[in-house]
Amino acid sequence: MSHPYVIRSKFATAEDVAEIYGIPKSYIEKMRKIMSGGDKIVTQNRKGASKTKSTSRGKKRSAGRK
Amino acid sequence: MLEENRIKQSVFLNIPYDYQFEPLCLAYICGIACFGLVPRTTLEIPGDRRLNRIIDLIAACPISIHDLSRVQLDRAKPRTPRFNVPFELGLAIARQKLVDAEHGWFVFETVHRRAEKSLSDIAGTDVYVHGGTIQGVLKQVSNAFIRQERQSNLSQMLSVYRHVRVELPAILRRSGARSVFDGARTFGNVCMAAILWAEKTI
Repeated sequence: MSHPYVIRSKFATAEDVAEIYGIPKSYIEKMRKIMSGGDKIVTQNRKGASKTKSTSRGKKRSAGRK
Repeated sequence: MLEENRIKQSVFLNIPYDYQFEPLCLAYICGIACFGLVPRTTLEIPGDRRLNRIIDLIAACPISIHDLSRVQLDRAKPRTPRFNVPFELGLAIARQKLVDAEHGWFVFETVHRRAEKSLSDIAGTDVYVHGGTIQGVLKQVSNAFIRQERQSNLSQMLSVYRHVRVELPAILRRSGARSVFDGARTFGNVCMAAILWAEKTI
């Protein structure tokens, strides 16, 4: 074969992989939670970082006013 | 029996199973997942009557990828090259020529023009040379496949690879495995992570 292969099947989902490999559906949910957990940690860190910034700015401002 | 659609989504991934090849194996898994396909390997097949089951597995996959990167002698005595990958490539070509003309088979290699020397019977076939790099594998997988909807690009594929790479130690720990090649279940769990990240990214 040398030419590119045109894929016409639907995009495989985690459920398809689970069926092929005999993986319990509960594992998919576990993996999704781990993935979104990772995202939440990143988001929380970002929020935390911005809060700290605004607090420190506030302190600086109030310090300047005094 | 798997549904017809599951069969259409399967890619027979014929690669060397050695620890040094693991990063490239991961790149193949992620590259294939980014095209909405599921890699299948002979890791699914237990020891007994392997040949019949390998033939059945190739028949269950409309596409096969064969990586001829390991042509050198192995370290274990008596030192031999491993013939499994080229043998299974032969089975896939025979299937396409004799049974199923639609079967798509692709030859991948690390070194430019080496496959033409080591397996001169396939002269005239385009060999997808990846240079032994992650990016090379992802790029060549994207050269081999076209998807009309949800076509992935190289940066998306790299992003999926990086996420799965980060998660790999945890996946192996949960599976009680030491490498991606440590059984079908472990391999399936890594494929699951790749598909989940591909679903999210592409």
